[in-house]
Amino acid sequence: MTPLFTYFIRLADILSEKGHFRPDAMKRVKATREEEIKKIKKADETEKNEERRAEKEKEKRRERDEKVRGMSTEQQRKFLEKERASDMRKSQKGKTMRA
Amino acid sequence: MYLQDFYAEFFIIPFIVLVVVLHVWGSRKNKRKAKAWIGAMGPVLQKEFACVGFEGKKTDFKEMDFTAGASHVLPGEAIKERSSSEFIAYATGRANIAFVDIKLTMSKRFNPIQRFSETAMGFLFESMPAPKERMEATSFVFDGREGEIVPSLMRAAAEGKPQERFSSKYDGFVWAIVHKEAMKQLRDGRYDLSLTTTRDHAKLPDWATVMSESAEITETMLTPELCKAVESAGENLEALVVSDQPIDQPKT
Repeated sequence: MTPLFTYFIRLADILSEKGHFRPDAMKRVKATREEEIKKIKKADETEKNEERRAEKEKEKRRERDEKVRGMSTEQQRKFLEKERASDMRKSQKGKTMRA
Repeated sequence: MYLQDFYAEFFIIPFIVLVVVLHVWGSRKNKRKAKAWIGAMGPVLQKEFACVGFEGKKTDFKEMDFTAGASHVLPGEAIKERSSSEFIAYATGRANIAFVDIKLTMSKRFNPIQRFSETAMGFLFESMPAPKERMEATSFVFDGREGEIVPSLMRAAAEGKPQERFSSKYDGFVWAIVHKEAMKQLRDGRYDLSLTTTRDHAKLPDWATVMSESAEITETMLTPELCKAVESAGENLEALVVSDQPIDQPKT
């Protein structure tokens, strides 16, 4: 074990002495790193888009709730019915298939 | 008051004694192992580093005797007990290396019940392997940044003194020699190793394989001295990793 441990410590010296590679040797390494960075950036972007969408939905819901509260009971009932009808129409739209 | 009333105690007291004895014996055994380790590796560290252990820089550097005291008493400055199954050591003060962190993990000899359940979990769930006894050493190299880290050098830089120093910088890469049995777990568990490809090498023994990003790097890193050292270390070697990437996947 000891020779390996000693070597492990001396690795730092070996690396600083010999650890300079020709550019085309490092090409592959650099390419991998670039790919990884791209992947991470993409994941980040998708996350941000998701967040933005969630935010918008929340906004819409809040607005709708505000409206509902402002109306009287009768109007509220009518409003909710209209909403339910339009929601059903929307889901139906998704289910219809082209012949 | 009859003797029969104390039947329960007749069982419980020996049991308590047994638990206590087991605990003391187990933790002492672990300490003994840790001491044996630092006894063997301490001199190596002392040769390479200016400052071994946690006491801070000593102006009159004296050779530490790592074997002093009873076999289970640790040379407290060199190696510390973090818990009855974990020991840590530290060294600093060397060209090219900022410091070395060492952690010895041992099985919980003092608590056979916990040990048994840990092993059982290792069989049932692949993601939680039974803890093995291992020594992990991490060497944090300067990579050219001594000026930022070492106080005396920082002062020199501030005063405008010239810094003649061979650069400790080197091109970043990920490279490792690993034991084939550990390979899968290392590749899955570590982001930096997942960037490598695995290939056997004729110069290495059968149980070992190389994980590298490029053949050129392997050629440079796999010196005959290293091969010999790996052979003499034997199958106890789990992995030797050189890396400039983090272990967990970065998010930014």
